[in-house]
Amino acid sequence: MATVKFEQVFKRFGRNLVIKNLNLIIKDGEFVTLVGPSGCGKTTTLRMVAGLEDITSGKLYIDDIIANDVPPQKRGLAMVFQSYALFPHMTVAENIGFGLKIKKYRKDEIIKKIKWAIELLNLDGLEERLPRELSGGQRQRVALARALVLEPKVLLLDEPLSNLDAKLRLKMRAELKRIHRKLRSTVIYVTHDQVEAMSLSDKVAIMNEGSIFQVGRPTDVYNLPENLFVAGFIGSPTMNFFDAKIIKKDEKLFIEFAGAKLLIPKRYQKKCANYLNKDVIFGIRPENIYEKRFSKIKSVKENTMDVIVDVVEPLGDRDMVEVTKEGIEFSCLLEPEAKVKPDELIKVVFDLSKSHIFDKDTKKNIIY
Amino acid sequence: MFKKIKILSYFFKKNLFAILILTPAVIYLVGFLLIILFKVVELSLTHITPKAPLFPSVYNFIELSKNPEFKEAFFRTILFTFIGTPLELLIGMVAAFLLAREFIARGIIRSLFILPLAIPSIVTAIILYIMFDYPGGHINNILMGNHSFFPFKVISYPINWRGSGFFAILVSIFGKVWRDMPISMLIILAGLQSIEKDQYEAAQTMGAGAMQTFIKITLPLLTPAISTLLILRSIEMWKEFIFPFILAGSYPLLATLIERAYHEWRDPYEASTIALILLVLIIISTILIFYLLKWLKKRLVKI
Repeated sequence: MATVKFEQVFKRFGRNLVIKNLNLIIKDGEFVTLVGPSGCGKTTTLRMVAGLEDITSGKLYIDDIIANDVPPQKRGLAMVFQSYALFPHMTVAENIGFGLKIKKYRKDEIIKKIKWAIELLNLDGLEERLPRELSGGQRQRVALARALVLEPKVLLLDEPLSNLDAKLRLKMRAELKRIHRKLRSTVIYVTHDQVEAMSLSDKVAIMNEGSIFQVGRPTDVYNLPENLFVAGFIGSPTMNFFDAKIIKKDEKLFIEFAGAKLLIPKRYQKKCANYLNKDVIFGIRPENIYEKRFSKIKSVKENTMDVIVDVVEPLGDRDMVEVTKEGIEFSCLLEPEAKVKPDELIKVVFDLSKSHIFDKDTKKNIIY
Repeated sequence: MFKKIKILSYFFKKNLFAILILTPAVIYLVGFLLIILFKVVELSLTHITPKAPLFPSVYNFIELSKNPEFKEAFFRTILFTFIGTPLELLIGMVAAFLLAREFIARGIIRSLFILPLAIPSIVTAIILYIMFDYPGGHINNILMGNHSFFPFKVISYPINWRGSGFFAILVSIFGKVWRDMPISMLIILAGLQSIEKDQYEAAQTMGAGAMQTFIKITLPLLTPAISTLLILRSIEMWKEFIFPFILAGSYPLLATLIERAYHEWRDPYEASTIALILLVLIIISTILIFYLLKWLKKRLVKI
């Protein structure tokens, strides 16, 4: 178990700067997820921790020791690769025992540890199989077992679930969480799937174009995205964004978009004062828009809007409804009981206490 | 009768394309392999007596076993194969490891390594003949310090390379290995490139150093390539003709002894007998190598 700290880390591949000024602290026993679209530098970051990629400038601390030039063999970490990288010529047991053998453990100890890992990951009866005789989920578990037997200071996971089918992915996600709770090791997890990131981690670091855009607990980044990118990346279905303007009426600030004027909640009024008569981006999640009859908050003139239903996609517990207002489209998650139909005119209520307003230039969340 | 012909014609009509495609291969196999093999077996089992040829007879084999020249050729062939094959594998492997890395102008340098294959064996053999000539060959001159770029006097009088059985075989091995090294290099290179980079990195993160990675990951994963190579190249070594023929003319191997039996002894029966023995040797050695590799692979992987 260990802490990992990045201090002003830069990474350059030839002329491409792929990691720009990375600062991140990972505490002992924490499950931290690096999440972002492909090419954002998250795997590179992980490989730098593993020592498979050298650091162009800045410092990487593992357990408060500068680890920039420590070779991967000496870092005491273990990594699970996206391809699993199982050794095709070794059986499951041999694969799991490989690292232990390299580290010169006694034979009876190796056998004991292999047994422990096999039990932990439900691999009983597969000890003598070769990787090619295993299913995807089994291979993934062997890769994980191979890493866990080493009792690594930090466990690095590079998109370990991306090659599994949806059902198995859910199962392995729960499994991972269970194992982490049991072993309490420091884990750095890389994924492009924000749902995976949200559901697994103690802390999420959202990356884009080589920098971290926000770090925080999953609920925090969901409820209070620091900037436009995080707001759009986290959450499914994605947040609606509108080009809007802040205006003043009767000494109160309103947000104006799509021909509607909605009252900005009291506690945001002050923060928005600087943006009076300026263009901003208004964001609200589909689940924070209600049909008037089923609204969780009181419908008043200042938070209600008439819209025309465009497309209805029943999801079971909710209906995903695309609506239009003056040519502007957005989506909302409505109660199926509302029974909205295409081309119908309905009233929707915006829960503005859960909305966000972003600066158009800096893309920062004004109300953060 | 009529019905049978009808069925047969239907069969031909239906499979016309396959038959057309297979015909050249069948003609080739029958013409160049089966007929010749039968002829060789027949000749080797025929004993010519003043009265009438005797068939079958093992007379040729008994005669040959008494022939000291055959025994010497037999041991030389074993020496040639047992030194040549591992040497070719080793040099091919070293070259493959050098070329597997990323470096500037890799393509050009790879082509340079493959160049020996583009030169006809006979040309290479004759170049070596000139280089290892006695007493005035280039190698002798260099070793005697006659050239300013190599001012060391290693030997004080020229060596008659082709006049000594040992050196003659060594020089022919040198020629053979030099010419055929690219083939083993290419096979190993293909094997190396089929190993995923992830596996090396996984081994690295688990604490394996370069040597451990080589022994536990690279070598076992290369065994398919090495097996193919050893089997193919050892067959080539057993039946090598051109290099020993030109460079070790007075010290025949089995392959060159066939030629000598036919042309100098004027005895096609003995020539066929030697050829048959060589064929059996090749088959036995191939089977042995196959099982040896199987056993070795198990050893390499065990925890």
